[in-house]
Amino acid sequence: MDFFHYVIDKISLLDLNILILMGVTLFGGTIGGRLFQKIKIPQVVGYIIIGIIIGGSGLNVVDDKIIRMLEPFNYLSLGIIGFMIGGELKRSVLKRYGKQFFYILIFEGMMAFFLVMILTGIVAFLITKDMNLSVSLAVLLGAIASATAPAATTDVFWEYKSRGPLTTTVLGIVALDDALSLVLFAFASTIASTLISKVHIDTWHSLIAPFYEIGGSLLIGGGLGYVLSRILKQYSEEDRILVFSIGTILMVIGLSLTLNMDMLLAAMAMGVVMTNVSPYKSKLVFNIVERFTPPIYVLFFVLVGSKLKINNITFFVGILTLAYFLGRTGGKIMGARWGAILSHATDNIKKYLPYCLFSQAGVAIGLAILVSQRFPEQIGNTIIFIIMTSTFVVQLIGPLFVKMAIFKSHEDGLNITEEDLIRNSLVKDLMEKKIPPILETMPITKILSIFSEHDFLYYPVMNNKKKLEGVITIDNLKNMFITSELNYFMLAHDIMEPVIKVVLPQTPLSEALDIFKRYNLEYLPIVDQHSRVLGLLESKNIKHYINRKMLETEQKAEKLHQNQKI
Amino acid sequence: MNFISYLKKDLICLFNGIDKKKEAINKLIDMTAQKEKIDDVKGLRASLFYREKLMSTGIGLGIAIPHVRFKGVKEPVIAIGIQPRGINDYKSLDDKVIKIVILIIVGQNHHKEHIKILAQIVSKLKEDNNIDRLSHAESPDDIFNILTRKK
Repeated sequence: MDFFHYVIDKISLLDLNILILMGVTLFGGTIGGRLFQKIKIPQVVGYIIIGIIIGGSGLNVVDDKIIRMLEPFNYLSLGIIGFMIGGELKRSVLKRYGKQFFYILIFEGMMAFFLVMILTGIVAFLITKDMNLSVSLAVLLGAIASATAPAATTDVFWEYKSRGPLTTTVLGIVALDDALSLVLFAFASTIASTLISKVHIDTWHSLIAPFYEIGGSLLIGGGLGYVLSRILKQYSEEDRILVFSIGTILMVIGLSLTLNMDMLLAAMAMGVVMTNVSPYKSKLVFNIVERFTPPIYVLFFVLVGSKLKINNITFFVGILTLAYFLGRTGGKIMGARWGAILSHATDNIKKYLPYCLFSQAGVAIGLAILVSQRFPEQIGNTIIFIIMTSTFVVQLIGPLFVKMAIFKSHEDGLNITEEDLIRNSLVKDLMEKKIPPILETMPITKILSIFSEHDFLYYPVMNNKKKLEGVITIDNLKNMFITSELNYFMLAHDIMEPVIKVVLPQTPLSEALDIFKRYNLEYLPIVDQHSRVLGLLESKNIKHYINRKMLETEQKAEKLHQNQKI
Repeated sequence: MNFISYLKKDLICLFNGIDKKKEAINKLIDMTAQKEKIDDVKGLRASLFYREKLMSTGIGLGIAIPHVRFKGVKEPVIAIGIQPRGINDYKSLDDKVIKIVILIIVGQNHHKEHIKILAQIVSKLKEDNNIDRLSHAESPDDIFNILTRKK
């Protein structure tokens, strides 16, 4: 009994909660993601729904206190997301799409801004009859509406390995329109403050605030990004690169927090600088960081879900939310289409880009929280609720539309890495089937003529039941050059090498690679279940195969880009 | 490397009373197993006879060279047996009766040694009248001397 009390005393509920909850969150989130992936819905949606279930609107296992405690993780994931997005903005891409980006960005951002402002303004005024309040709400909501969330959007791109002009454009737009949104918000908040607050507002301060925020973010991110790329020049070990990169990302977001700057923008600036200062090395860096991200992403999206309070809707807020949602969606669709038409983008971009910009999350929620701190409760709470609710809706439908756009524009599966290829290939995909079979009773003279007629380096040797007995390599045959006297009575059986390992056609390529490495082999015979010879896999051919496949997808993606310039 | 350094007098015999291929090869294996350290005699026997099944090692001119690369063998082993009256059922490429049987065992990965020893023995036998001399040898010493004699 004493022991029992001792144990109870030892349990710290808070520690237990936070760590166990993080574990549960990761576990549940991933399972949710998997389930949704199975029914062809992007995993993000699954994470968010698991978040809702365990969050304030559901079981309340994860309450506000815990969410606040886990906030640093959110920052870290926002930082990584920003960094990865920034990495997509290469100079060459900007050059190629610069004009197009600019048009689309201005149009989709401004259209969303104006439409939301007009619709919510009218609705608010009709219900409250309060001009100041309505205009304040309207400009703030309009500014927030212009932002598009990179996280959920890029997550879908990564999940479906998409690549091409549409993907590039969307990544560019979502990376840049936060800046637009921040500028708009800075001005909107100045206007709203003047209208609402009785307190004297320093107009001068309000005017330079946005420049401080944006300029400062760019400076921090860009500066540290440059430093990081200089440091990484001296390192090639993956673990060091990972630690330095994550460390720098943490510093960038930490500094932005301290100095009241936009961490997403700062992290993006860091990515942009990295990818443009040392393009080759950054490719590796982004790869390594990407591999590190999944748990943080899962946590991030589950927390987004658990923050949503879906059970306290009033009629006013409900109808305002609807107005916001319709205005934003309509504005994004129309703006993106006009921008694409005006900038002579490809048909794919004109047709499908409008459906890729619905997503809204980090920046919008961040701005909403900012509003709640700067403005009276009525405006603050209303905006928080509208943004949370609409975020929930667009986060559910946004990824679905992005997915549809990726597939309709045929950009899916073109952004594969060598690891993806290895993971998804089987031995039979690269099996050499045309190797002429060598019977173990074949005399050397006959084997010599086979070697002279073909280019293979290794030949499987089989018995008369087609069962694998050994392998003859060019080295084995070379030994026979000592004398030709033996050629007529030596057989394949006498000079073949014993088989160390075999693989089946359905063996995954990754497993075959492991065997090659572990046994230091140059070839692996391929047999069926009855050890009958089917073919042979040469280790050097794996590299060829991967290079060829990579080149093929490269060409496919390049073709999509070329259609761009009609 | 010369095959002569692997020749041992106590691995040379006259096949007294043996005139069947199977008995001849078994005799050489048994002799080897007695004098040399062979871990898996049964396996060795099986692989030698498996090889004979693929194609007879009677290479002509009255010579047979049963040979095998075998796991666990450190140094090449050469065992020789002579039957002046001939071993009737030993098939040979030129259909001549086999009188000289030379068993060669090398390590599994000793590809080069395997070929070299075979090549050296074949060319040694073809020297002068060596085949004829060996066919009429009267003792293991005789055989050893014929094979190790310098030209």
